[in-house]
Amino acid sequence: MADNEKLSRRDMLTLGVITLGSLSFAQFLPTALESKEAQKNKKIRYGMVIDLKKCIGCNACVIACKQENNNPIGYYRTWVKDVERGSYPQVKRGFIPLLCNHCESPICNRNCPVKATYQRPDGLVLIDYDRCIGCKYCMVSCPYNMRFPHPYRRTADKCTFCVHRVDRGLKPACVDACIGKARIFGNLLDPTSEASQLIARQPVHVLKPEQNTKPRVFFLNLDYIMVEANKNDFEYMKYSHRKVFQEMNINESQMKDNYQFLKGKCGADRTYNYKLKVNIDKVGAL
Amino acid sequence: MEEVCRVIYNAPHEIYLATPIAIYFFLTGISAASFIISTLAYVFGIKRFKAAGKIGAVIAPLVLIIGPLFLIYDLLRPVRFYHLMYMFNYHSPVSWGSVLLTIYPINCLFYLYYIWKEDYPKIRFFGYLGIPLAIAVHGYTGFILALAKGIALWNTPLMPIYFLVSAMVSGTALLIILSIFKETFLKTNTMITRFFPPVEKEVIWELGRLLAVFIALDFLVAFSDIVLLYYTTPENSIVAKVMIKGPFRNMFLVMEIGLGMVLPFIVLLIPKLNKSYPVLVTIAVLVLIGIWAMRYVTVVAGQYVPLM
Repeated sequence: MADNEKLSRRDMLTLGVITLGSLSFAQFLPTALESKEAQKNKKIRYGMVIDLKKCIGCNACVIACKQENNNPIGYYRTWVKDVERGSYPQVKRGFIPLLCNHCESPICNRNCPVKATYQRPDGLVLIDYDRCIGCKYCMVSCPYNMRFPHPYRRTADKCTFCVHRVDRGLKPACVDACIGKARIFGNLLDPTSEASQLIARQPVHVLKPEQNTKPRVFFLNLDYIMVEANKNDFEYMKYSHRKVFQEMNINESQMKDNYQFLKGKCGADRTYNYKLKVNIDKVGAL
Repeated sequence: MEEVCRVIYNAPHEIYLATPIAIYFFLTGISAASFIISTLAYVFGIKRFKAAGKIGAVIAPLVLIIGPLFLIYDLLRPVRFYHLMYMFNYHSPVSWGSVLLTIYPINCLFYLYYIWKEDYPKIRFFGYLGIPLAIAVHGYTGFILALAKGIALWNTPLMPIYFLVSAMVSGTALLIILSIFKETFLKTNTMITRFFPPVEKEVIWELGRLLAVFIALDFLVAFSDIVLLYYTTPENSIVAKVMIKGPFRNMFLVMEIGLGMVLPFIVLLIPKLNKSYPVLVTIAVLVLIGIWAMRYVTVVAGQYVPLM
């Protein structure tokens, strides 16, 4: 095993060429390596609109997110909550895709003691995995429960709006995967983008507006009774991640092998280091 | 139309902060309270508390050096705990804690050192400095919970006060146990008696009365907290039901309220019982268990209700 892990001279050369190539490529990225002022003048604020009438609950976004970001088994950056409402003659089934809201005033950012969570000028709330100490305070702070402890990287983790794709002009993986086009991603400050036009024309809602976090994921046709459904339903509470997968006879080492196998092969792992772009000490503070 | 909703699928939900955090809250509470009781004698000049205050002055730094170890153990990356020291975010109560947990034990050690040397002006200086620090070092833990605004049980302005009052309860109880232990078993040990003068009977009885006062205050705060939770927003009433009827019923109603507050308070009012050492020790142990239950229930039951 040890022989395989050593780098040969040819490998080193290839690696060097790739590094140089990607560094020079980084100069031409649309938003990369620009100052906060320049980004502000460009007026970019990413957000998402989710049309719940178009969501059919196929979970393609969950799988796409898993493929793109190599989420460990049992943990989700986005998931689709599935709710049944009413009793027999009048029954309604609803799906609510949930993901990090990339709030305008994020409480996770404010409560992070080491400023590992920061907000970019274009609104993405991201985590610096090298700074994060894993105190888990952001996970209890988030009113939407969108954060989880990454079991192998040993830090907090959450949705990044696929920052590595967005910076190259692509849409997040879940948006591309959505077969009903329920998820619409775009620049909310650009009046011609589909997302901002929907927000301007339709009645939109956000989750938990009373928390004053100003979420930037908007919902069309949101049913608040369905969102709040599980509050009284503690039955599923006895299932932690581990228990669910123990019942499926998947053990801890298998899950870790799965993660290690896909590490470096997923879209998010292959791309450039996006956190180099901003000075966290200046951007991270509110 | 009746609203019957059933969750068919949702992402599994975990409880992130659990026992180590509760232990840490319990220990800082004891430390802050013992320090404040010791300042009764050495700063405010109530001479009869001197012997008991000396025990308090020893407990305060001792417990506070153990406490943060639980915090570091609870980190996902314990090796990176030093990030807290230089990557400071003044918005975050955890960052306030990293400053307070550095300054307060040092202050406690100076205070103890000058008590040993019997240098009264310097004891008073570090005592006056230590009182706000002791309140802050435990009060900030209340802010940690209160500023996690998504969680209904925590997000209340009562939380820092609830923590401070229950800290005084646990600190007084521990002081009673240690004083009685010293008076019963270590009376002839010269190593101990050289530094610790004997604690008089009357002082222990007075600590018992002080305990009754703190328990009454604690009950008031706990009662107003749970009543306001029960009758307000849906989130609040659900978490109150989890505590009163749900899986935390035994810990909250029996251990915290029943055995930790009501029973000790009644016993402390009975004239003959509140002067017998075995009864006082039993009560103090019950009170400590009750405060431990309070810490645990507050930390865990708050996260028990799923947010999404």
